[in-house]
Amino acid sequence: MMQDDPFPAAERILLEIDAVFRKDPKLKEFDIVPVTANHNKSPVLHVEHCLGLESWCVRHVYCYTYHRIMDARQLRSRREDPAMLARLLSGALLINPDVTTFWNMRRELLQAGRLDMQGELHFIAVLLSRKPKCTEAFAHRKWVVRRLLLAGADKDALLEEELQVSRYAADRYPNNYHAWSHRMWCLANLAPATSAILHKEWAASEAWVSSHVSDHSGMQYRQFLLDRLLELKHSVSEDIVDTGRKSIQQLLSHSQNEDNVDFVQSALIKSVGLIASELLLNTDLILRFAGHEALWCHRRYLLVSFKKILNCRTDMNGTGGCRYSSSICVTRSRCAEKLSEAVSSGHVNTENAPLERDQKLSSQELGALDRDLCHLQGAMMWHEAKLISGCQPDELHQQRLAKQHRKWLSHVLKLDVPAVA
Amino acid sequence: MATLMKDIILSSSHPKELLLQKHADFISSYGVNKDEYEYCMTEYLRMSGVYWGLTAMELIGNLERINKQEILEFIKLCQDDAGGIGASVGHDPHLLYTLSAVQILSMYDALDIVNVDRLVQYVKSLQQPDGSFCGDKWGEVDTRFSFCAVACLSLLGKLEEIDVEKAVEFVVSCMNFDGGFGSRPGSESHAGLIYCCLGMLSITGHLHYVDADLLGWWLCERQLPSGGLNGRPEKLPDVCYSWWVLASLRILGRLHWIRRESLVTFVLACQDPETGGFSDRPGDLPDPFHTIFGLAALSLLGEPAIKPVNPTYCMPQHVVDRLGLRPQKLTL
Ligand SMILES: [Zn+2]
Repeated sequence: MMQDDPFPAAERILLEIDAVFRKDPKLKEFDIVPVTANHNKSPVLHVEHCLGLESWCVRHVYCYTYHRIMDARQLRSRREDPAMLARLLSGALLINPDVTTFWNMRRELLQAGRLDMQGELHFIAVLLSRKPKCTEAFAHRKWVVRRLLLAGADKDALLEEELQVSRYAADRYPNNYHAWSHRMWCLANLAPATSAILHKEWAASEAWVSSHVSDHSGMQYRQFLLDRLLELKHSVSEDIVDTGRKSIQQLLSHSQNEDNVDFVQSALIKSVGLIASELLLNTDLILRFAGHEALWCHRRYLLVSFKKILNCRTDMNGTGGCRYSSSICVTRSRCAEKLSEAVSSGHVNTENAPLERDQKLSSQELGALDRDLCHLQGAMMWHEAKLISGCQPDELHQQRLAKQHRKWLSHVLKLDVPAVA
Repeated sequence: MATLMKDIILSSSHPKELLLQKHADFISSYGVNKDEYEYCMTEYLRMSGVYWGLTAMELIGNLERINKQEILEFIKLCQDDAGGIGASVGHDPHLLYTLSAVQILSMYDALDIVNVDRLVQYVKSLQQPDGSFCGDKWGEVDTRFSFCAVACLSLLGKLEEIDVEKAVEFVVSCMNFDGGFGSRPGSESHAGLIYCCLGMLSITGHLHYVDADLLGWWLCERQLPSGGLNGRPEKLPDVCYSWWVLASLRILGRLHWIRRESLVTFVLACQDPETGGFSDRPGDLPDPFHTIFGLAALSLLGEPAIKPVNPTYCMPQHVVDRLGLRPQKLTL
């Protein structure tokens, strides 16, 4: 294959890029700057913690680094000096971060202690500013984080940094699958078992989705958080319980239901309250920002979760239908937990006493539970009907989504939507 | 106030007829005209590029225009000592390119070109205790790789070499409330990953785990007023997602749930009338990736000028038949 003329300036350019990373620990962005002519000055720009590379030199730098790296990989040339190799890889990856083999070579340098782990995290963060949805960059990031964990790095500091990076990438590219996946992975692998971080994320995510109403990935992350909160062994914060209680009251009050006092005192409040408050937030966003499918999809998730709780009773009796052994376990233990909460706060003295899964509730308790659940289901469907009928007829897309929602409620959720005046 | 929907508007200037000969020319000249920079930029996925091009050519009956010997030599050089196959000579082995190579060799009926035993060992070595697969030795897990592993081994007739039950268990654990699948447990549903997971369950005969009506519902909602399909809510329509959604619906036996006519119109509009080839959306630059998926989608939609394609493997049906493979499909 033909080779371009060798590009003598390449090594100097690579050195300059390397120097910028070294001298500016606050470097945050990289981009290719459209400058088509070579003006006989350095094409490497460094302004306000942003690194730029003039576009005229990109193809030359890339071809140069590509061939040198591939030669080194196949040992056709003398063994490349590790520092030189690292510079070649940095230059090549900043321009084209999709080359898996180049990331592999960086991992080898990291394993050999020829590259610094923290420096690597910084390099990836800067690279993500230009390519915020790069699969390989996120995979590499996870690899580095795993190694740092094994080496005993401070989990809290790592988590902090990773949450920041994933937020940054999510802000720069809508529906950023990899950024949100990374965030979930970090929460699962770096977060302590305590609930503090979950609460913090839950609050931050509310603000984020409220200003990114078409970002389904961001909302799906919120579903992930909600699942974690529902599963939480510890109780959730007073704030959340309080909001939840008010939300349930609001939901029930809309349904022309007088008889809500009992329910609010029982302790299905954590789970039902969480979902109810999220449902109200979602309603508000749907009404304020018409025509966003992501919001309606998120709503489906909430209603499915809601229905799961309503169905607890049938699940406990073993008649609930779930074909997957793994999910049936989750559903059952969650239900057991909910019921145990109900019992422990309402009728048993010891707070949060774990109950055996097959522990029997008295018929009186079961009756009260059934009545509450029944009221809730009615209120929930009333709320849906109000929302659907309240969509403005001049909003065509919103109308379409509302119609689709009604269809989904009756066909998928298999609940009838009541008529509202 | 009307909200804008994320979709495209088809104009009358977009192609409405299938430009078969142009596509054959586009594929056969692709790569020949590439300059050094483009070549270096795309070399990291060359093996898949070859698979896309070859499959496209075979589906439109032009395979003989490709130099078979050159490709077989190339694949041979791409097998690593560990048995895996890389995207190009000197690139590290990876499941993605190992599958592409096996698909090409299956089409050419030339599997003996590579060391099959070592290749199988390589795939096997990437299975994790939870049943999932890493893409290569560096440990990234994704349901895409579960598909690559079982597709690859089934084409080689070696599916029994891995723990299929565990592999299925992992894929099923990635199922979401909407019936879809993501890259890992708890990850967002995504049409490309749904295709991979359904393909995996189809090959291993475990489609009974899927809620076909629920998932079919979600997949049909990917169709936009333009007729094109997107891969997730509020994304733009794209030819490659049109294939993934369509193939998934075909595996589920619910292809007729889609508005066929408008989808055909959308896919045809994504052809480049000058150079040939398909792009992601009308008017964009064409590439082999969208070209194979455009042709394969039209094949599934019943275009008689294109040979039948197998929805699970994205390979010509006659090749899958020759290998005696019967990937599972549901019926309504
Ligand atoms: Zn595409």
